[in-house]
Amino acid sequence: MKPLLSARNLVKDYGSFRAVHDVSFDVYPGDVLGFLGPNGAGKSTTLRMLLSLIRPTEGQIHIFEKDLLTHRTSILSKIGCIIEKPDFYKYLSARKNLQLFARWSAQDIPNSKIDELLEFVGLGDRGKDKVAGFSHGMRQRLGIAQALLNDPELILLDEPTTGLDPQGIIEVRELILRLKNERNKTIVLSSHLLSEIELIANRMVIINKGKALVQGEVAVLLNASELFVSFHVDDVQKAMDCIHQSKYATSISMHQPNEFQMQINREDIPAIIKLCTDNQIAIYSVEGRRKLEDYFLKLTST
Amino acid sequence: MWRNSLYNELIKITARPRSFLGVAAITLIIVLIQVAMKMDGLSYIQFITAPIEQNLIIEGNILNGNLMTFIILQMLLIHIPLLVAFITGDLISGEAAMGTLRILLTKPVSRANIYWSKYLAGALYTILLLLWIAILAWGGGHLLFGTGDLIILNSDGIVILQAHDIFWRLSAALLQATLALLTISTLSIFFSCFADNSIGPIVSTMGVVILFTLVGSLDVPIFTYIRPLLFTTHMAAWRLWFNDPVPYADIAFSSVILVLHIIILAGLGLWKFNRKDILS
Repeated sequence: MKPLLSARNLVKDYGSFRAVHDVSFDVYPGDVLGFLGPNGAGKSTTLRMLLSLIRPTEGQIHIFEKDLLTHRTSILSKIGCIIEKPDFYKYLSARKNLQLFARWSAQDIPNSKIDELLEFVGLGDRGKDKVAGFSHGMRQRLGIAQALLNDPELILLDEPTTGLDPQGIIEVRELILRLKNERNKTIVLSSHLLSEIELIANRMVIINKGKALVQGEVAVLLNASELFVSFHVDDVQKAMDCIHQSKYATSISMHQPNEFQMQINREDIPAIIKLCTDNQIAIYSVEGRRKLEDYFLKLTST
Repeated sequence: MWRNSLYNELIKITARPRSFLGVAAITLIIVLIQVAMKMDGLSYIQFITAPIEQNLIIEGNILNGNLMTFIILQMLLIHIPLLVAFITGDLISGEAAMGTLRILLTKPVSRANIYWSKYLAGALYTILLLLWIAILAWGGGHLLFGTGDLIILNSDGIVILQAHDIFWRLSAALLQATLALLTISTLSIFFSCFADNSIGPIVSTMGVVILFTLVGSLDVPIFTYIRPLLFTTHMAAWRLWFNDPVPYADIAFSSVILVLHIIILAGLGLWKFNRKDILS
């Protein structure tokens, strides 16, 4: 299958500072590609390069098998996006804003389509209201409607849940999932939350300090990574003695006063719990964390 | 697409209250001047004409609509550049500050299209602003003061223009003033391409106007070579249309300088806008 989007050796320099360093990746039709990285990792810069908002210092971008630099307008006619905050003309109504952007979309977009999109994002009854009075969540949903105006084949969403309250995050995630499931859109989504990418994306690229560190199928990357399981117990020493006598002896990776950690498969957790309870060791909590999660947490904390 | 873009830009300008603040202020000022002159204009005229009345007998309706139009234009055309910069300086940088430029430039429209549609919308606003001043000054002036010959005092002496000889001069002067104000709007749009905030281009434009005006007014030998090339030297060239005979060569030179400024600044603005990284 030919990629819908192909970025090769992207570099972006701001003076002597290299914001993006030799990043390459592909997006295939139907993909939801998660672009994961901490703040300042180079996600937004990369997405802006994909939209020609920023000129790459080096590298090539091909979208729909065309070079972005030479076929900018024809490529953008098939792309929808939200880059960072969903900013609109606050002095205009939601509908007027969409009408304005529709006129720039190189398509004859009827008002009925605009109303349908407002309905789709749950703003059907707020179309006549000025955007100035909208909450961040409502603007984000209006941003998604704006991104869908031209019925795009590819949607780029840069941190679409940032700044939203928990309810807003759920709503926007549901909208993205509906785009994927009901409209079969190809989506590139940036986020600094692994859990978000895990929920929405099927493929991901982890980026930090401008470099792409890991990329592949989300399921493969997460399942392949070993699981670290922490057991909080009342008697660590007794638990350790029991485990040392079992087939799991080599799995123990570390222990603290009330906790020991093991590198095991998901399927082994019930056996460890049984081993402890059979030996009258009280278990207060069991917490699993994947190696990739640890790796990402380590990235984001530095 | 050009029509759509221009239409969008005009919608944005007309939807913003700030676009009408300048118009409202100008309307208020013109009406105030006209009412004040209606109430006590004759004593003002006598004060102005006192030195020449020793040698000349002036008869007829001196304080007329034509003189009022000239006075108002002379007073306002110094301040309008600020109002023009206030709107046009915001066209690109204001959108960068709002974040809408980011969305706008992800639409399938060339940057040149966006730039020129903004430029045209700014130019239209400038022309309409000037036209409004002219209509209000001329229409209101004639309604309140009637018509008559125009007597102008300038550095070369007195110019008396007959009533029937004024309208075409006023129209030509407005075109000349339009050229001067378009230079201001082009300069502020040029600065707007570099900034990500609304204030910077407005302050920069007025800074350049003040600096060039100072350079043009200083009697330093080196500046005498520069002075004719500064656009500020030609901002008041519209007044030349009220000279008798009309100095067409001077007007043509002023027009060429202003047009050159417009072409160069608009070209440089487009060059910058095409290469601008959108980081806001």
